[in-house]
Amino acid sequence: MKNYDSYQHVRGESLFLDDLTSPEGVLHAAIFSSPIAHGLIKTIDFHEALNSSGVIAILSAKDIPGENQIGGIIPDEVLLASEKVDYIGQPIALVIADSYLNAKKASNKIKINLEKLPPIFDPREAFRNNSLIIPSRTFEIGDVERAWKSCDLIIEGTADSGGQEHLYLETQAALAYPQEGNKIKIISSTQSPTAVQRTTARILAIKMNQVEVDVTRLGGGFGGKEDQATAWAVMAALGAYKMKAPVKLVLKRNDDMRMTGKRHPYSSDFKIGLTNDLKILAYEVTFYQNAGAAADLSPAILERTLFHTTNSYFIPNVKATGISCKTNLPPNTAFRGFGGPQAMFVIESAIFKAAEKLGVDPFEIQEKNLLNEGDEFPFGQRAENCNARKTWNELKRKINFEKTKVNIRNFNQENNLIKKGFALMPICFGISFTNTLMNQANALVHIYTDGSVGISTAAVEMGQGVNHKLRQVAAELFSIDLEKVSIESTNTTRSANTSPTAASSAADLNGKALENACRIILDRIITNIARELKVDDLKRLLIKKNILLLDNKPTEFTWEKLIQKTYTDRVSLSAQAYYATPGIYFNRNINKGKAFAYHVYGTAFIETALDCLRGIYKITDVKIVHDFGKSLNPVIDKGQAEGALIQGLGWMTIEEVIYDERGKLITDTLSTYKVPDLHFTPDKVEINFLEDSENPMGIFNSKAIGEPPLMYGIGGYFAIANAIKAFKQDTNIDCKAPMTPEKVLISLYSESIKQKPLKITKES
Amino acid sequence: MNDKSSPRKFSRRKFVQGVSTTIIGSYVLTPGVSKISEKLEAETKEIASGKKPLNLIVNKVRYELMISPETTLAEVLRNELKLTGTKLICNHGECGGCTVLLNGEAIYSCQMLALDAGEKEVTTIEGLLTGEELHPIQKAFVEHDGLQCGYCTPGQIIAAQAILLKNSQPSKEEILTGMSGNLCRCAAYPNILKSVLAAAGYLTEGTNR
Amino acid sequence: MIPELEIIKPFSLEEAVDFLNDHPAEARIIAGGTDIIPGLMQGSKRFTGIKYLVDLQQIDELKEIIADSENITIGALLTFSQMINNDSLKNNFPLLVKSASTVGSVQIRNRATVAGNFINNAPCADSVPPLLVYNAKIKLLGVNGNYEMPLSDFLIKPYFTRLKTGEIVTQIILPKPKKEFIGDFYKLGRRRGVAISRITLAALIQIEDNKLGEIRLASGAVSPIGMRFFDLEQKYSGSVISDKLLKNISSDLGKEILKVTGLRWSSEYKVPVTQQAMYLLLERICSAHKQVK
Repeated sequence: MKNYDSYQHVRGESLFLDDLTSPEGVLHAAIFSSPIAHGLIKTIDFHEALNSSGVIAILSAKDIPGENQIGGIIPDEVLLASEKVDYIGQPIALVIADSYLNAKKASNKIKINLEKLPPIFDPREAFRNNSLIIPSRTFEIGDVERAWKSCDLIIEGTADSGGQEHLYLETQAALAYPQEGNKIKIISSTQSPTAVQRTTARILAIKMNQVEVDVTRLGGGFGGKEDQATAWAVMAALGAYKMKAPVKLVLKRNDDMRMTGKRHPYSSDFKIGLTNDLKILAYEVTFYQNAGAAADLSPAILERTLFHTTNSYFIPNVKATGISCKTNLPPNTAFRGFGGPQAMFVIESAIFKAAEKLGVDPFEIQEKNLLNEGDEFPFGQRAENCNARKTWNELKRKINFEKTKVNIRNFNQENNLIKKGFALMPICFGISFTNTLMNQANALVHIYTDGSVGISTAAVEMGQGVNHKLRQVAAELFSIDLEKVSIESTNTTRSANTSPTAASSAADLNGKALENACRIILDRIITNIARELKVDDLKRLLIKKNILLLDNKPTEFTWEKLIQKTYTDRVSLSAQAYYATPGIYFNRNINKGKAFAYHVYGTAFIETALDCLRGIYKITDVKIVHDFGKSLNPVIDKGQAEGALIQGLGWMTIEEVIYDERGKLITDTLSTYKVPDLHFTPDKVEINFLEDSENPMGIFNSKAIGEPPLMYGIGGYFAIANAIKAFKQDTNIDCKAPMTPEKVLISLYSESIKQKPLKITKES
Repeated sequence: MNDKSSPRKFSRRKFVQGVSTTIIGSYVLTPGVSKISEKLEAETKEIASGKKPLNLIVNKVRYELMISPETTLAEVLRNELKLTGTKLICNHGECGGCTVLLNGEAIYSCQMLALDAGEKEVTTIEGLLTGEELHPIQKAFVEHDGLQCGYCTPGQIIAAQAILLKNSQPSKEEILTGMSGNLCRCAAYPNILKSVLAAAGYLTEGTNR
Repeated sequence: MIPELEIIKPFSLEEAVDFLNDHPAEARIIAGGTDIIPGLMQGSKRFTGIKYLVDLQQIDELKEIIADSENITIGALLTFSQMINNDSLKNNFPLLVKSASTVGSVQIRNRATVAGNFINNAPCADSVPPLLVYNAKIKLLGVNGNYEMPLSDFLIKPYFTRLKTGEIVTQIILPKPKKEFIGDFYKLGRRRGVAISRITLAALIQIEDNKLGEIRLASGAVSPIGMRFFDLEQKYSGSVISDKLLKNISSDLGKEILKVTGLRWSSEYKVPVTQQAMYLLLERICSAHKQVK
């Protein structure tokens, strides 16, 4: 089933925030931000800037009527800095002018005097200085200390993964309008309208019912607009509130890259113990999370890291400690996977290193330790409907694993400068917000008198196809044509107290709430018409394909007639309903509970070809068996899986976030920060749907899809590592991602410059 | 199910064509000033302050504009002609979001001065429709789900159009080369490639699962 | 948005030169705009103080390709796409065309010009090493009239050339190789699409009876600017081809590059890779020669 939104996308008619016709008299805002990573603000001089042409006002912390605070989980982040700055790009003032250019010009004229303080950028250094966001947390199962004694092999090491720029193609943006009654309306490119509403109310010292937030669609989010869309929306609101005029704030690309947080870089220490028959007995890990300068979502992300410590494996003795380190970088934030990928990279690194030491292939250790039904995760939940081994075996069968292995070995024997490598990558990802209270949603459904249906939920469409899926849910429940169903913008006046569109759960939560709302109305319609038709047993009535059936025979009531009838009988055609995921809980005092409604499983085969002359690699072949549950929309879900895979491969390979020694982002353009393009895309990507997977916890038995497949990308790192080793067996793979081509080249050649004579290799 | 005949309420292209007759003549651009009385004054000032006339042919419609010389083509398309299908994503010639055809060839409209496009034929995504009928490339992108969030889509489609204008039977290598200046952060690339291959007639419809 | 600017559209080269001389600090030539427009947009320091852009698009002679028996002369405003699609350039200067096809993306190649590629003398200008091995000369026009200069002399150091204020590069003169040369071009960049190149190499070799005749080697990106290796070329010209010889040439090339760049982090991998790449280039060229014979 094709995505309904596509029709307007291909015509260029989808209206993203910056495409909206600006209201009359709109003012434009530019941000003046900190030029240093850590310091005290001594003086700020706005004089020259205020006299700059077109400037209307410059707003700073003292102009905030309410509390200068935007922290979501912990109140540790100001909207506008007034005393201290903690990272380069931290907003200090909002310049409002008649055009963006004039605002920008004026912001360049602001003079600031700062007293520099020593900055910290490295999470381990922050840890040593006790610069932490929250106290460390530990998840534990079994007894690692005792288990080490039973291990035949113990390996210790370090694994680091880098940051990742979201690079949502639509930059952060908001447009705010003053309304009558001291109210404010904000159109925001956010995944979290309620957070924008709540924070605006706090900043402006007004009530939440005085703030309306509306979201049409996003040009990509990937987590980057979950918490970090809020500041810009609130700034636009502050501007509009103070100026009594609409204010538009759209970040330019390099400002967006400079000022916003990324995926958290992690540096981790691991210790893994195995028996001779490759069973992992014990695993101890410490995650140093580089949180940046404020909490943002870091504590929740750290928690999800801990939840995914063991990926798809059962390990009886685990001790995992997470430390959220405060550094002088922009606050890092949610990014597809939300800490899970960072954890999985470490366990995969540990397995890789153990395999190296044991002289076996990593997949032998992986296979030996896959989760089985009923196995316990370190946080106490047990694996239910566990498909880890099922997807693994199915994949091996699909790719004819034994033959593939031989083919790759033969290829490497025949070629000197091109080497192939492969990896298998199993994933297991928990679905639910780990903060249990967030697992709730509501939906509002109106059926209009012409039979058309309007739906409001908290789900924000950002490319993941949630609008289409919701449409399908309503169309299927009412058994009417998809065209009759319309998804309204996400708006806080229609959907209140909502959770962000995040954690892959928008379709699940909002879909279920929508299902409940549709059923309420359906029930009313049927009950009403049963009276008219004098039918006692409601089960005899059924709407099918726009027609009311009685005992499976068509009646005169088409959908439209039925709706008209319901309306004239004065029965409500609107319903609001609610859903809360049942059965989940988590006790943070003991770090045990059933945190997730269910898990998503899958296994990928990833093959790479490495040009050992250039250090350039190509991911040549990816085959995946993924557990989609009973996919709600295979076309959309397959696209999600492919996109997430490629984004994950990008994170592990070519995407490198680099700050200089002053904490200034060097990779602040698309020429310095490389993301996958069509050339990077694997030659072959084959996504297979695991058969016979059911999931009663998902909408219509489906499973969440947004995040899990990203983690297949981790296999890309190890596929390349294996290709390097095929060229140079003794290469030390340092388990530091990303594996950029430069890094590959260094690992291939760094010794030869010191060695004389030069070792030059023939092509074949 | 087949959604091809989906109803639509608003066509941007029609809108532009509808007002185009009033544009021809003297169309002076003004920023969104709040009071109408100030508008005239502003216009006179702007002409005096060095605005330049520009004859632009976009999607076969001729526009006579007065613009500041430093305005880029992308800015004119988006801000003045309200053809917002053309996106400014990096504004630095690195992403492809602003791709339009200039005399049939793909260019980045963000790194070109609008004055440079004078008297040349510009085609934007809004110009691909024939009436309400989707262009075959647009159809292929719908059919093969060659998009996710939709933000890069107009640029991707125009880049594909440039390839097919040059060679209706492009090789896979030509397609990769022609499309590699267009980024998609959702990484819908496998389906983008499929869409272009389909538009070139290499795939039969309905091969997408 | 770009700060206010005037666009000057001269109808003749003389007019353009006059204007540039009248506004030496404030005027800058714009050709394809693929460098200057984004630069102005970002407020790049390279373009501060500019008030006038002199657009040469209407001067047709800058877009011409003229072939005679000796040279092919290309106008400075020729775009990379136009180069790629020109048969006579393809036949006579294949390395140049190959390098042109690796510049940016289609959208950039449709606008960016060959002169614009080297006029800033950025180390990563892809077309420079091929131009150098083809002994390209450039034609300049200033208040004192026309003159020519080898491109290798024109490029001084990173971001500096011998271009004088008020001068315009009007043409690039490519002497047709008299003898039968074979060559190849190598580029290493991070991503194949829009990549700022990190290593480029060009080698052009003439082979006579199992001996190296004339050899021409050039590098870009790995060296501070695009450069030829004249000493090395002299040293090995006339040598009998052997696997060892090719390795020696490559090894020496790396040492030469180390001499000019000094040992720094990036040379750690760039130099050995350059050596390896040059060896493969040479090997390919020599075996291609054998196959032709």
